[in-house]
Amino acid sequence: MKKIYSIAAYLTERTFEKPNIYGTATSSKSLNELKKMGVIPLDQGVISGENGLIMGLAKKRNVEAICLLGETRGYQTPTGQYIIDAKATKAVLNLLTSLLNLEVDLGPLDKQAKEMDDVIAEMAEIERRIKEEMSASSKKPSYVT
Amino acid sequence: MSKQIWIEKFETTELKNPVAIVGSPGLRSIGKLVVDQLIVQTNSRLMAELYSTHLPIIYQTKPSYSSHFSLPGIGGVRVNQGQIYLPKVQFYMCSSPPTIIVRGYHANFDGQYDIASKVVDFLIENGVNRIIVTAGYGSKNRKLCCAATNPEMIQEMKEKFNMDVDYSGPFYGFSGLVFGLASLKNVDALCLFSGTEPNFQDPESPDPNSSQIILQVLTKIINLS
Repeated sequence: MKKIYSIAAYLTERTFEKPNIYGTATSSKSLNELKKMGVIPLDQGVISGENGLIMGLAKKRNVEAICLLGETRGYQTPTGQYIIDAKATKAVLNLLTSLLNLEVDLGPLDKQAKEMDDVIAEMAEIERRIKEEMSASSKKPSYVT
Repeated sequence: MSKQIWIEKFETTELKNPVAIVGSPGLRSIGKLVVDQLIVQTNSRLMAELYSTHLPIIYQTKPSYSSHFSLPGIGGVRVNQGQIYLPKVQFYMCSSPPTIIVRGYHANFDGQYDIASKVVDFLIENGVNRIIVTAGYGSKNRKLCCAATNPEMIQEMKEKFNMDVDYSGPFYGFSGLVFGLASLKNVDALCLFSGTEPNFQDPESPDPNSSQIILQVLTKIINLS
């Protein structure tokens, strides 16, 4: 095996149209190649979970490894379930297919991205309505617990 | 992966009866500040690193040294200036005075004893017969006090440095377990505690003034100019 690619998420709070791709690598040569492809080097931070451990253990074994992190706002449902971020996935896959010279049909991800937009819009609407109802209601609770 | 704790050795030490100095990120990071400064000031060389599946990169407990059996933490790596680092315990060596400096790291509940035990065993293998552990204790003033595995060491500290045994209570985390296990393995161990005011919002926020108090005495104990 010549090289390992680890794909992860980069959680952000900023609002964006197009997600950035952040990256790090076990060698400066690979990192420079990533920079040329528009990847923002991850200068500081933590890569948690398997994606990070693969990087750390690959480095220990002198195996070339690259981690690509797709920017995401980490959308969650009100019950705390993460919503698949197909836009971030597509951005990373676009880059990965270029790096590996692969042809992959990314069409299904567009469909998922549309569904994700619909869910987020629906959640925003529910949140807006709740806020509206709360501010309209001046009634105080008639009990104490 | 079958092994859960392993040590990678870079240099073999031929130090004669080295003293080990131990510190880790604990209350106000005093132990960590002490060993970090010693490593720089003594131009110590990295001799070994201990890795383990029990060393989290993200702790689910705050502070990091308050491990809990149901909160093992999250594994991963730290990225700094484009470099990737697994969490680890580091061993540095200095030839004059003969010293091994241990840069500790808090393990999770399941691995903390095994890691501290492995650290003490490694020090014994390398000829250490005296361990000095550095840490902080909650106090309104920055007074130095000590604890030791034998009364002679306490007496020595009292006579030479007017140090008392003011602190009573738990000694959490990596450094506490190294101190305790050194005692079980019949290695002389001395603990230098420096008083520091706890910061409840950020318990590990550094108190460099308090760590300096330990350094001033420590350099005399190990004859470091």
